[in-house]
Amino acid sequence: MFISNLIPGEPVLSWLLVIIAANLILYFIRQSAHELLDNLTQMIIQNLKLLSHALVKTAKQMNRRNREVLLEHGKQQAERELERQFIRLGTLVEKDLARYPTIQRNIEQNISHMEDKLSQTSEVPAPLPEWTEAVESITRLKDTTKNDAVVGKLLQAIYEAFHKQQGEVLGTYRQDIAKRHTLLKGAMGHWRHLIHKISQLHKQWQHLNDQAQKIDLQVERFENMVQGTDKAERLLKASNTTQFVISLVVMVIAGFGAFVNYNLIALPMSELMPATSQVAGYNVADIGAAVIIMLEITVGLFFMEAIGITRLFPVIHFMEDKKRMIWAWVCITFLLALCGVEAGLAYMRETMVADKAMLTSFLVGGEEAASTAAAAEHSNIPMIGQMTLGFVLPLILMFVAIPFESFIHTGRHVVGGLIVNLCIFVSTALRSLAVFMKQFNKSLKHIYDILCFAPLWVVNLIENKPKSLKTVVTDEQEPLALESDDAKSSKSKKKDAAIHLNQEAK
Amino acid sequence: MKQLLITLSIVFALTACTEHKPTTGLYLLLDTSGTYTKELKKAQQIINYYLAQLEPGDSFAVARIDSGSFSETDIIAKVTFDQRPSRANEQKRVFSATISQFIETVKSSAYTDISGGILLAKEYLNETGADKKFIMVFSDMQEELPKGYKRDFELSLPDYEVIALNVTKLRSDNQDPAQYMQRLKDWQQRIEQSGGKWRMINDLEREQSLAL
Repeated sequence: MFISNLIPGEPVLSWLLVIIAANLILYFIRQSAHELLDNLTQMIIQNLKLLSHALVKTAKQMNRRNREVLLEHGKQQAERELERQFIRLGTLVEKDLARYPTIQRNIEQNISHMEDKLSQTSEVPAPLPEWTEAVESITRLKDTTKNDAVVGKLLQAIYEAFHKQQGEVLGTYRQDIAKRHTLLKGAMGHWRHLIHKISQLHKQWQHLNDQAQKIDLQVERFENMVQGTDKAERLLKASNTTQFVISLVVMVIAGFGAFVNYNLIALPMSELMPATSQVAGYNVADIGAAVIIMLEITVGLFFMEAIGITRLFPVIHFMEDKKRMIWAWVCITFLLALCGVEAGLAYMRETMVADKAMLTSFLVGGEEAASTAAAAEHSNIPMIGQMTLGFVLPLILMFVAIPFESFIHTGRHVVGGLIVNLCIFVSTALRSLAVFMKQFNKSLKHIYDILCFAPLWVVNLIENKPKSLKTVVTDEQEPLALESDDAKSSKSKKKDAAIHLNQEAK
Repeated sequence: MKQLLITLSIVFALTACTEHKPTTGLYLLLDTSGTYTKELKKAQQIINYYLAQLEPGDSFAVARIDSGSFSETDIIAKVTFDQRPSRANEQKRVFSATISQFIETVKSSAYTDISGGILLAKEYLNETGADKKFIMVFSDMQEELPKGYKRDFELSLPDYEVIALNVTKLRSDNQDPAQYMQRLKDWQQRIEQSGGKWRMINDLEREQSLAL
């Protein structure tokens, strides 16, 4: 080795010489090396801090924007709910008010009927019998024997007539009372009808009242949204996350449905599209099947938008009602056509599978086996099942528009929240890295000092002599670019002590 | 205008992305010399197996090895399957029927010109433009040429895989197995020197070994 032969025949001495030389070089460039390390570290730390600040700022901006979007979305939802409540209330009032004249007429009729009945039942006193005057006249006759027999007979006749008439009057009176009772009994029905109508009215008013209370709550919520209160934000956040998870789950289920649908039509598509062409490693036929499913979903989305269930496309949503309905009819026609195509493809699939099975039989067992397989009874249930699935699945997939809308709206906030958290996390990590770099720099400097410990030790010995206190002070005055506050304070203490010692020495 | 340009660019990009699906070209040579014709029933099963395996767009040809195999008249059946699976299935039925008829009526030949057959197979597979090219030789690999036939040329088989199927042992091989080993070794060397790959399948019952 070159170093071992620096002094020929003296490898140990050669090594010692090299080590001493290295130590001295390290000592002489110590200050520059320390400064270089400090500068490099400072540069890295400053960049890290800058990045960290930028991330925190981004997180804050993102948070603010998220809040705005969240409240805006909440406001839209509240508007929709409020609108729906008003529509319900309007329908209710319209329906009830339309019936009020009928009810009122009914009640009035019932009341007039009852009044009639009551007037009919009013009691008319029975007329006094006319013979009472005759009796009075007879009693005024002179009491003579001549008249006794005649009077007696008259009185007897009057008595009998009186009894007879009394009986008749009593009978008539009783009949009248029975009639009145019958009339009153007839009025009972009107009473009941009246009570029923009034209770019905009460219920309707109660319902209206409930709706009004609900609207009050909605309006209160809407006001909170408009004001952007913390409570509204908290409620919206919780609601949004739940909605996001639910819509995600539903969309995953719909994804499986789409997968089943894809498998149903992928094979027969090879009859319609070139089987030997590929795009990005995938068969054109398979891509065609996937495109058909995507088209079905798209048409389904448009249809749901046109009938006002979702609000993903403002162009469709703000169309005139008539045009929107025409659009809806066009969409459903296309969708049904695609459903028909899928059912046809499902049928073709079954035919192709059967043909393949026949071919295999033919290749394995010859014509006999093929004709036996053809003659065997086949159930049509799988084919009917596949055709039904082919027709129904696109219609079911159409409903994915609802969770999709929810997913898009809530996803914006959830993803935004995740990015904010990520920014904060990375910012914290960068700050930690900056602290680590600071400590690492210190450690490097210490390691450097260890490498050239011998000259440092010697210098320290020389400097620690009492008369060289000045130089200690001078050395201590050299500032380091990167020093912590503690280090600085300890140094200042040392400096004070050195000055004190110097003064004492003087 | 901008949107139209973007749409057109996407359409062109997709069209440019459309590529040809890798196709397979398979050429099976059937040895019809001497007593080997008895083995042809096995060959029919193998042909039917590959008919079931091949897909639309693939090419398949079966030719006989006789005294002078470098002739189109030795091709028994050849087909490039239609892109529509139903039409391809129909072609497979016809192909299978043709092979069946040939095996029933085959007459043994006096000589075995394997090299000529391989050369014809190479020409056919080149014409089909198949991405993966396989030449299968259903024979005992004992080449016997009529007088005056020259077959000591360079085969040049890059991108080809030559598969020897059902290489039966001759009576002389039983007496001296080294002959059999040497025969196979010679063929392997010849194919590999021509740039092709060599494979031998004797156990025709194993589906894995038959896979292309």
